[in-house]
Amino acid sequence: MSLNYQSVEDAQLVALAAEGRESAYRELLSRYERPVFSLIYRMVRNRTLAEDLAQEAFIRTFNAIDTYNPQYKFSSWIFKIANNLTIDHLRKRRVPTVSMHGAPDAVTPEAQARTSLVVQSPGESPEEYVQNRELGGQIEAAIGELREEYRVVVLLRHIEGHTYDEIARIMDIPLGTVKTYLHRARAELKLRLAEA
Amino acid sequence: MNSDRSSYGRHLDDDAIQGLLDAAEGPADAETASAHRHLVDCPECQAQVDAWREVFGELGRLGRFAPPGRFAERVLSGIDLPGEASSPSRAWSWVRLRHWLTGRAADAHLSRRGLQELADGALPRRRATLAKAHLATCGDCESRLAGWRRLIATLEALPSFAPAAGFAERVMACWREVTEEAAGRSQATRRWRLLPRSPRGWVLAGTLTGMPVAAFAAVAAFLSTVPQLTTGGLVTYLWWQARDALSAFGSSLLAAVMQSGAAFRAYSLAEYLIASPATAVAAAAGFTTLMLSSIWVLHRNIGFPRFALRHVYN
Repeated sequence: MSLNYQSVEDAQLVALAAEGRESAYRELLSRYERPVFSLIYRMVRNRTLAEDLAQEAFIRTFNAIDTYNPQYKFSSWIFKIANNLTIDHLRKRRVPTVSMHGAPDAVTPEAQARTSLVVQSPGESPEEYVQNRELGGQIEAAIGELREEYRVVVLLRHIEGHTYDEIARIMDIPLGTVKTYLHRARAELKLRLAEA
Repeated sequence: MNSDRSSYGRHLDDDAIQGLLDAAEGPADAETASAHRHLVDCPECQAQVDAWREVFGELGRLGRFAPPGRFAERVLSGIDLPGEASSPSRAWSWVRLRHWLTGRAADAHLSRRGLQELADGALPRRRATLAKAHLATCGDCESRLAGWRRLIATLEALPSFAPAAGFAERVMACWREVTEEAAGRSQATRRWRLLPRSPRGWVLAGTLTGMPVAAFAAVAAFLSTVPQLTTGGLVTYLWWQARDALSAFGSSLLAAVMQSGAAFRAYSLAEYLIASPATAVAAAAGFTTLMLSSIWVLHRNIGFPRFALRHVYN
């Protein structure tokens, strides 16, 4: 008799996956591909990169499936893996910045002109067009301007609907810190939306 | 107001006029109808009625006074809320103590944090009750709360994004590849598993394998010191001993087999098969099939494990 995987709970699906059933893996993937991709996409704000990171997050989750602790929600676990991966990526990618107005030690107008950057706009690629359409709204732009930790808590709370405790577990931070991050993030969002 | 008029036939007294005004909304009885008839002919009583009507009007226009800000909280602190562990009065005292310590009045406006948590449904029940009591009397906090609610509603209405088509297939293909690579690495590791992995292990293994060799060398060295013993004589002696032992073991094994019931049954079966060649062919085919199946099962499950999850990250 074939099993209807759509009606099976996450914890049971994980148990079936750990036994080696590929259909269980497929069902987990179909349940979480959108939430995980959305979280990563809003964090990195690049579709291609978000897909690569989401794929990596799923592979890590599937490879470690036999270490899953059913005491916690599977969604918390996979979001924890996705969040760690994304934060690691963002931290590695961070490079020393150069001012567009010239090097910091350039004091004369000539030196500033010599060391300043000239940015040319080559026009939107199709991917950039989609991204701008998806993330170009006021609220999305305001979310994009938040610092990474604030952005994650807002997305996990208000888009994925996790409780404060779950967010603390996902981000490996104390509950009080989650509250503080959320309050500051929402205050910043409100301010930015009021300014817009 | 004159109160010395006692008869409806002559003048209306104060009670009669008040009763008349009170009954103005309801159906008229005989006494009221008589009073009304009197008023038509008596301007003095009509003036009294007008004066009383003015008083009634003033009373009707009186407004309601709001209780002080802490009234609702005081009332709430005196009742037991369902599901609360400690008594509300104690909680209220704690709130007042905290406010006293922090220099804030008990009926101060709600903090930004408190408003956000209330809008998000994350404020603890007791604090939410107190906050709602304050909001009932504070329009400023109410409008700030509405602002936070709008922001949260905007966030919660944001859409989720789907990855490009074929994402799931790509993930599954990539994962299969990673799993197979990991299984291959695991097999390669298994082949070398018997070898020691540390210098200490190598010393132990060397000692264990070297001891019999050293013991043999020591015996040989001792024997070479005995003048009567030659190498050829020793080899011949050992050969005789080995041959006798092997012969004795073979004889006893043959005797055991020949005397056992299994040997008798095998002999009977062979006789039967020789007598009917068709049965012999069928038995040979069955035996071959069984052997091939066994080899296939061993090949699939021992030689090449089909599915093995390994941690490739961490």
